Amino acid sequence: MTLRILHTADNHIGLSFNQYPEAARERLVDERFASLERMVATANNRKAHFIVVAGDLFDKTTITKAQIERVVRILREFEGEAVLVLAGNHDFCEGPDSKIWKQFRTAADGGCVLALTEPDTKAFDSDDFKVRFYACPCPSKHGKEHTIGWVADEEKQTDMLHIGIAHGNVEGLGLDADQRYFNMADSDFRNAGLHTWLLGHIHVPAPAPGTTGKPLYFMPGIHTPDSVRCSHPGHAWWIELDADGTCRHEQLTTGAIRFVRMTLALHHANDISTLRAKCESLDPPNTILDLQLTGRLREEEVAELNAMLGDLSPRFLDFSRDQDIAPVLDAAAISKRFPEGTLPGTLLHALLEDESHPADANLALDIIESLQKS
Amino acid sequence: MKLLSIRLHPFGGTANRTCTLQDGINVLEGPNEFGKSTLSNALWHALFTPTNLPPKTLLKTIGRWYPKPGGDHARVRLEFEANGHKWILKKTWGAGALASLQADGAAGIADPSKVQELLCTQLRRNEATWRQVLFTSQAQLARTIDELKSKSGEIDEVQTLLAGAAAIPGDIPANKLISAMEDDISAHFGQWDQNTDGPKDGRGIDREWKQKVGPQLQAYYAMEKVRRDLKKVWDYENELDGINSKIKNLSEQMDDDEEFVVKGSGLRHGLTRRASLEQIGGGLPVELDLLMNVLTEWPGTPKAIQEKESEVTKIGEYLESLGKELVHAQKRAQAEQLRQGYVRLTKAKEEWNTAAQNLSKSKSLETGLLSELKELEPGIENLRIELEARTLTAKLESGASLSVRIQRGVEEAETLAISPSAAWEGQADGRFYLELEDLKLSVESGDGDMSDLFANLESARKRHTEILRIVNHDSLAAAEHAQKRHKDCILEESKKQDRYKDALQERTEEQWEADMAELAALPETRSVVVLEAERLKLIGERVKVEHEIGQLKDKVALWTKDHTDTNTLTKKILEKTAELEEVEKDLADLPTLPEGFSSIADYLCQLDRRVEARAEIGKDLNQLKIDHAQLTVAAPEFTAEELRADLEIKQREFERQQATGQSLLRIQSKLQAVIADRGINDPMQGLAAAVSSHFNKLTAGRYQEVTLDGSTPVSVSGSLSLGTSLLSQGTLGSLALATRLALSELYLKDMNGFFLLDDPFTDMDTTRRAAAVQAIGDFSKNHQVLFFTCHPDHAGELEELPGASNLLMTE
Repeated sequence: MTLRILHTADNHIGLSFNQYPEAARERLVDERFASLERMVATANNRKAHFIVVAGDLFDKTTITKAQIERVVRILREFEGEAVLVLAGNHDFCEGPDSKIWKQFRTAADGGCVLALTEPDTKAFDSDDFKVRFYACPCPSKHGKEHTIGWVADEEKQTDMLHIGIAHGNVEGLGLDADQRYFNMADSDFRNAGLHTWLLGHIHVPAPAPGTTGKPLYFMPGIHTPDSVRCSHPGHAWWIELDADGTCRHEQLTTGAIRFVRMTLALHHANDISTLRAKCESLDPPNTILDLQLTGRLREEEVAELNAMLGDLSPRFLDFSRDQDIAPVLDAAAISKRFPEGTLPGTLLHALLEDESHPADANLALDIIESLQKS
Repeated sequence: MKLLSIRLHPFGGTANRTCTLQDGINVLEGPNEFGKSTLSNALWHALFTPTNLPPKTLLKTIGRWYPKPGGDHARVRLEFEANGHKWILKKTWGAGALASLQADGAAGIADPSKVQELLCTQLRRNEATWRQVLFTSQAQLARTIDELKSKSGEIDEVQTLLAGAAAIPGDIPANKLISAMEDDISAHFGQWDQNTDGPKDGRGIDREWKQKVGPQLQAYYAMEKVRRDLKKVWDYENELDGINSKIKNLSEQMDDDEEFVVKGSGLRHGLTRRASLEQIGGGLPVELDLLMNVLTEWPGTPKAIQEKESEVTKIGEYLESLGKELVHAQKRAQAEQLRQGYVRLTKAKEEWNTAAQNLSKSKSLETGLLSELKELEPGIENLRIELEARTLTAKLESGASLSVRIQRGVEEAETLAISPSAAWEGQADGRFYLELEDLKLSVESGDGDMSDLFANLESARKRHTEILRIVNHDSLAAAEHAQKRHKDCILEESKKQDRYKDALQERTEEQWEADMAELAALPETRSVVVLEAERLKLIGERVKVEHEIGQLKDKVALWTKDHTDTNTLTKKILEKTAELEEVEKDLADLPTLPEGFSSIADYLCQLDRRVEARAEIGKDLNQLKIDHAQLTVAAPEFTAEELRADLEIKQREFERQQATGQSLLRIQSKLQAVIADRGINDPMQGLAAAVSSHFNKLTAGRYQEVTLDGSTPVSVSGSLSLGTSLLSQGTLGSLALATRLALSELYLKDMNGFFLLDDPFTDMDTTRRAAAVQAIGDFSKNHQVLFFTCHPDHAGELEELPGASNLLMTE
């Protein structure tokens, strides 16, 4: 017998993306549903027994009912045993009266989608597998202590698989300096005595690609990127567990949109060409591109850069740039503009000597040019 | 810029001519219409008129220089040196318009605008400066003062040039740049306090500045607003967490209590009934025990009373015999005291007898003898002293050995052995007697009657010896000691006698003897103390037993009263036993007290408390849920994660603005340092001095000083001080030339350039002209001069100057 699980987390359905123009915003909002649909389709194609959502399916507890229902509709398309949805710290469950989870249960009533909102176990027994899940949901957005301690005290039958589902920071994997996010350590997982843990919270996947054996835990990372801080395309884990706990896993790519922040220092025409090549290597209609450009270019190069970016920007889903490009200003350029003996020339030469503040000369040039124009 | 050659082909009436120019003065002399103005204009347009002017402007500007009739273009080729390079400038205006500029045969530029831009750089002075100062026509020289006044704003600023910055195209006066920097800094730091590095007057986002807010403060406000929003979101999330945590805790508490309360509700009735039965039935076993005890005890009690009464009787008898023994014991105790008194009496009597014996052994001295003896001893001593005062000294010497008998004073006679080698010498008190064989020598002191003295002494001594013999003592001291001892014996005997009398205690010795005999006849007993202790103990025992008897009698009385008799009592016990069995049967069917509680009352009390507490928790929980709902409705638009990302952007922007602000301050500081290095103090002094120097030479020392307003002369002073409007035309021309020379020196300082003069001497007399020629000659030592004139004598005067050359125009 082999148990097949598609493990996802941190889907953050309901992120508003208000900082983006309308077209991009709509696409980004929709992408979070779309990638969920793709995951369900993948799970069905691969005949998964379970889809496990290890917290933060929703971005906030104030998510609209319509969005909840849309998510549930998508998840109900799953043809396997069950979709297990754990309450994470963004969509925490404070108690039986939790509005979001009441609405979720109402929407999911009678289907295969199950909300895991209380610390409890869920056992499934079929011809193919025998498994017991240990749900450790978040009761609040922040928590100084993790919620998995009780699992160690549970009696475990030896003839079934035991899998934990939890949400929170993992020491050594994510940063939680203030211990605010249900911080868990490897020792906590080991003490629990389970075959493995399916986790959520950290947006970067773990274990690292190429890892074999029996991982202590899986962290899928966000299923589709939500900002430039996400450097991967969005992932989920495909996990197969034999009855003896032997584990095989595969990282699935689930996102269709990329956020790319390109930070480049431009000093030559070649750099502009490199920038163009890098931009063109992306998938513009599905890319939110944020350029952070610095450097010094000749005037004609600046014009070339602007023309190039002007040509590229409409092709991207969204395009923004933070540009700190100043014209090349060296002694020769200053002498060319301001013959020896002029006050601007003397000043600019003097400023150029201050190598620790190379931008000063450019700023001074701007002021001088502005004065000349006036 | 130094001119090398200029070719006009065509330009105006000149179809094709080339003019080669030299260093120093280049003199072009010819009559009017010779082409001097054409050459001057060709040079001007080559330098300053772009070839790409709009057609109308072009025609208006350069059209007059198209060849007539029918010419449609003008063309000039100019060669010059600048910045160490040789340049070729080609310009064609009109048909076939062209502009090119190349250096040292390299590929040149052909863009008309760029050509013009580059030319401006090479010319280093703006167009107005060249026109008003360095290109000087006859008419312009005359109008110099007026032109300088009216065009002062167009030409490169003199003050800046004097401060060190030459009037170079693109240059900016220091005051303008300083002012611009101050404006930029002021704008950038608008309402920002650089000292506190925060908003001016501490006005943060709660009291924002609205006017004149600089970009740094704008960025700061934007950042702080996001930070405030983020804090609000954090506070919101923490508050929500807090409420959720409370709801969770209370819910758990409710769940715990629910189990207890539900169970307790079911138990309440049964436990209440149990409590009641236990209260009723709880006394029955005790009551039964009591009745059983009575039943057991009652039959034996009369006998016990009897035994105890017998015991009391025995104790009474024993106490009686003990009383008798005690009487004897008390008597014996009293006899002991008597015996001790008797012992003391016996001892006192013995001591008295001893003292009496001692007294009888002691003898009393006759008082008269002792007194006489006391008087004799000092008398004898006085007589002896009197004899010692009459001491005689004798010396006996003899030629032969012999024996003599001597007596000194009252001493015993003595025999002396005298020889020739052993004389004798000695002293004698009052009298010395010597007897040698038959010789008897008696010597007495001659002072007084020695015989009486010796007699008195002898007599006293005899009486002294006699008395001692009578009292049987050796000395007066021994006699006195014996007398004292006698007196002591008398006192001792008296004292012992008194003690004896005291010991008798006013009784007789016979009475004592009789009592002692009676005492010897008393029987032996235990001590009074022991007997008294035993008596008290027996009395206590008798009281106790009597009390017990009373108690037993009371019990019997009570039992009789309560139960009449033992039969009745037996019946009662049977009834109570049946009643107890009934209660125990009922209790077996009722619920028992849950563990952990000391009593049913304790459990029910706890149950009531929890029911009440649960109601209170329910109220709190409802309130928390209301708070939670209200908080959820007021959820912030953005999440903390979104705001944190936004804050990063705003922080970056603020840091950028801070960096810009610091850049501006550094630039301002550097600008001030640069200007300070260039020395801008009183720059106009240099120009005034230069103009004065030239004018002094041109007027042959008639005027020494020229006063300027900006760069325009306003008055001159020498022997007289005159405003320029009062000067003669000739003097005014000299002043104009002096001013132009001074300005030209200034503008051409540290650079190549040329100075063009078109017939400047027309209004000067010979003297002034000679001075002017000399001044121009001096000027040409440093700068190229183009001098056009239609006056051969003027040309001739200049051509005589060293380095002057005649300008030739070749086909």
